[in-house]
Amino acid sequence: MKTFRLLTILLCASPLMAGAAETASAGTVQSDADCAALLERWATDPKAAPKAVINACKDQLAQSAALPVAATAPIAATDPCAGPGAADSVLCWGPWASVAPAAGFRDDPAQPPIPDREICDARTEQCQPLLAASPPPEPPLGSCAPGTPCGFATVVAGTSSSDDAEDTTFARFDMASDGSQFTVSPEGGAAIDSVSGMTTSVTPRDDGYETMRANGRAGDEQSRLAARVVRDGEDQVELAADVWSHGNRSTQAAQSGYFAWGTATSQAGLDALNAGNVSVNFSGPMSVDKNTTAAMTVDFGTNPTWTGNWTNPAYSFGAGGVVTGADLISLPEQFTENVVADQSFVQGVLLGEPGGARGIAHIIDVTLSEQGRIKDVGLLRDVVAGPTAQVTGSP
Amino acid sequence: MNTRNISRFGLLLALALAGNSQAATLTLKPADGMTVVGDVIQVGQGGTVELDLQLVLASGDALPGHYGGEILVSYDSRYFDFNGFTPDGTSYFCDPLPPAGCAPIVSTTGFDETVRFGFENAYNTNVAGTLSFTATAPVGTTAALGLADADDFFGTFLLYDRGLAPYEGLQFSGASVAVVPLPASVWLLGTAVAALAARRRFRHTTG
Repeated sequence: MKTFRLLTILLCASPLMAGAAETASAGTVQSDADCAALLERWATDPKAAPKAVINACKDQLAQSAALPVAATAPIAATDPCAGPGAADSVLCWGPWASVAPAAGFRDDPAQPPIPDREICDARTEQCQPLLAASPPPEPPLGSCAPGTPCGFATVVAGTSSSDDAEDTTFARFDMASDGSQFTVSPEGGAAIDSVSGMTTSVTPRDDGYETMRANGRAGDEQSRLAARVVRDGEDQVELAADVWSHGNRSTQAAQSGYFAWGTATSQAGLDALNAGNVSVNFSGPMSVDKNTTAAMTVDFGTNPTWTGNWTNPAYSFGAGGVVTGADLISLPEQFTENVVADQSFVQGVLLGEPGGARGIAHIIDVTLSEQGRIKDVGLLRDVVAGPTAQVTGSP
Repeated sequence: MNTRNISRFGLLLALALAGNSQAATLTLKPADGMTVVGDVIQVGQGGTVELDLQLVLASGDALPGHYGGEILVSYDSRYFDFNGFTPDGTSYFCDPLPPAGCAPIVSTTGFDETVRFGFENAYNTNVAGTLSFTATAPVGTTAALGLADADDFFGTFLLYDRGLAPYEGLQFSGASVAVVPLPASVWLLGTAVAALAARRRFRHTTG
């Protein structure tokens, strides 16, 4: 009988205890920095926190990052157009004031200057300056939308996959997540579509990747991939890099090259990283010249930036730039001195989500003052290794 | 010599070295215990031919590290029966993957027979595995076992270290097998053994 009573009490109390535990665990995350740190830990250890807490954190950080304006002192106190009836006044033009002065506007030196670029709230009629004074540079190969598959490739004539830089072009690259098909879209050229339904075989490697071979024929057309891949639990490719080829066996005409591909980090993932002000290190070999090792650091935050260096037995150089969405774009002034900056660029894309495989797919087209022009493509992985994790955060 | 010429010279040198480092030959080498005269394996009719699949480097070649690809062994089905392939530290891949897993695929067209299979993770000049055949050709026949890349368009051989890259310039070399009469010493030994056995049996019976 005592056992029955005890069981009854436990059954009645368990929902309350579960709710309390949930509240307690959710309550342990109090700041954006805590959330960011937790998400980073979750990226390497999916059991680090309950899914509900992780989702709450994602929401919290997404909301925190939703306002891309700096918190500046309101200028409404000194703005004559901030008062009631301002919308009916010829002296005021509400939110359009930054575009052109109102019809009857006279400059009053006693008033603070209106910022060159500002964002205004139509309800409160308060304006705040935008942080980014100049637009970010355009990615030479176009932007990669957050959360969508994206990749880059080199393209050469023939089946050798590599050629001189002058005879190598760049392309956007996309592939099916089961490896059965790919498309290469060169700059200013016709898209190269592989045959569909390529058969694949996957064997293990000892460097964290698997080797995927995909091959297919349709009449005389033949396509193949030979790739290092990272796959998820459902055997879908998350990251892939290395060799693609497509051609016609009858005419022997073929094109080939190297590639790096994945799914661009989602906006929520980017927001979480930026809200956490984390720095993430990435590294890996380039594909065309495997003697070149690339290392990049992305500093997330309000104005995310990146730096990187490429080291080869024959040369090394550095670059840096801005992060716009999931895109990484170089700035000419941030190349090292041995780079002919006005003839060079680096473009990349952040790949993957917390809890999954993360990386950077990127291309380099740089002219070095001693070595000449270099074109390459590479897939880098985030450097996270146990107690010496390279992911750092600043609260 | 200006900077551009230096760069070009460096590029040519690098290409020459790269070309030199990729002139290796994947061969069917006679396994230990096989009798070889010149480059030809000698075997009696019905004897077993064992061939090591192995990379042979030319002078100045660099070791490739890990590599793999898909090969095609071709022969006359009247002269050889394929017994199997024993991998040595390598793993199979095949395309497409059969339900029972990867294994060499034997195809026959007329008298032309081929064995096709892929292997991954071979290492430098280590033996990738050993092919075994039974010589069924008539005595006096010299027959060839051909070796080639299974894809003569793109090629299937890759170098694995750091990233994947085509194994440019890889050559392939098969083997020659001569089916010979059993040597006189074998006949003498066989006769002697038979005589001894008969004598023992006779003494046992009479004693």
